[in-house]
Amino acid sequence: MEPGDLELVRQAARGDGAAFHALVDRHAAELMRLAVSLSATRADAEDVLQETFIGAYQGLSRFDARASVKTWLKRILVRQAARHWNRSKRSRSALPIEAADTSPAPRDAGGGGAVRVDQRIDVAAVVKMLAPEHREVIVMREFDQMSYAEIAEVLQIPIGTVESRLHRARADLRTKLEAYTTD
Amino acid sequence: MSDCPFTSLLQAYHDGQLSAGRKREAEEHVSACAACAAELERLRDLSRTLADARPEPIRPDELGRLHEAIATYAREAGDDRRILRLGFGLSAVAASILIISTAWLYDGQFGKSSGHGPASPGSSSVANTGESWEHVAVGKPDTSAGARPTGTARNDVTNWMIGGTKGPDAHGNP
Repeated sequence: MEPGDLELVRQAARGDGAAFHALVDRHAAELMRLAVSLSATRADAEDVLQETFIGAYQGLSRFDARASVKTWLKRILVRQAARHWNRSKRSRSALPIEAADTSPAPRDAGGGGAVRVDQRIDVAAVVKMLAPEHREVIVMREFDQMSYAEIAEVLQIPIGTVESRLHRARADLRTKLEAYTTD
Repeated sequence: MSDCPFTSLLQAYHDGQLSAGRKREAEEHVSACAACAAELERLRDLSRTLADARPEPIRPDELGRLHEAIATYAREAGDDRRILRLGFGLSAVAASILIISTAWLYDGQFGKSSGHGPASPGSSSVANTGESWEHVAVGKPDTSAGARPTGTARNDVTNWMIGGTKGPDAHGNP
């Protein structure tokens, strides 16, 4: 039977390098997805991911299991991503929104205000235009399918705050996406 | 955005965050409220759009570099710890030598030396007379009990300062 996350952390804290690498293999995919969503470029995301796991390695002996290992890793990653984002803010130019032409995208024939985005528009880039606190909740909910409680635990905020941030993030995202599809 | 009071629950309903009872209430309400049904459809549409923008998973080369970065860090951290332990060890040895040397010097300078043989560092024939160094330094004869008569105070001080040179004997003779 495969050891659980907590057992791997304990083994790694005792100096078992293989246990830590097993932990990396188990969580790297999900964490990379989160890192990409919270970073300006994929290269930045890779740096963030490395810094996250190195930070986790440094803190192995201090992990107290009050949160799950996954939550703990995501918490480190969100902090590293925010730090990286702020560091690169000044050198970063406007994020590219690629569109092959300027003609408006076709609207849904069913009406009701539904928005169809031209495939050439980079939705991910629009997500990155959101305020950091909105971007964090929307990617954790929409990309990682995390519950409100899980998001609240990672960000260490109340569940009510998660809900209100999600609501504002969706409204903002809709506005920005519509801006690229209206005449 | 609808003015219906139920719209505040639509997001939680869409995200599957309602309890079973509240979920049933929401479903009944949406089936009867056009505004809430439209808002729910907008939420679903946005989620579908975002699903298309989900980042691609970690690539094999990225995972390889990640493992390599961790292994390099662990190796260097291990080397640093070994160097640190060596440094602490050497510092402890140096400190011990310093303490022992200081104690030996102190003992030789002001302690109970027998005075036989060549003068050892820090000792002087003045000290061997039993006269205190304070009296020697100011050139005053030590009249305290146990003090022995010495030679010229200035010579005594000089001899004492340069340490080890032959000075007056116990009776004050050069």
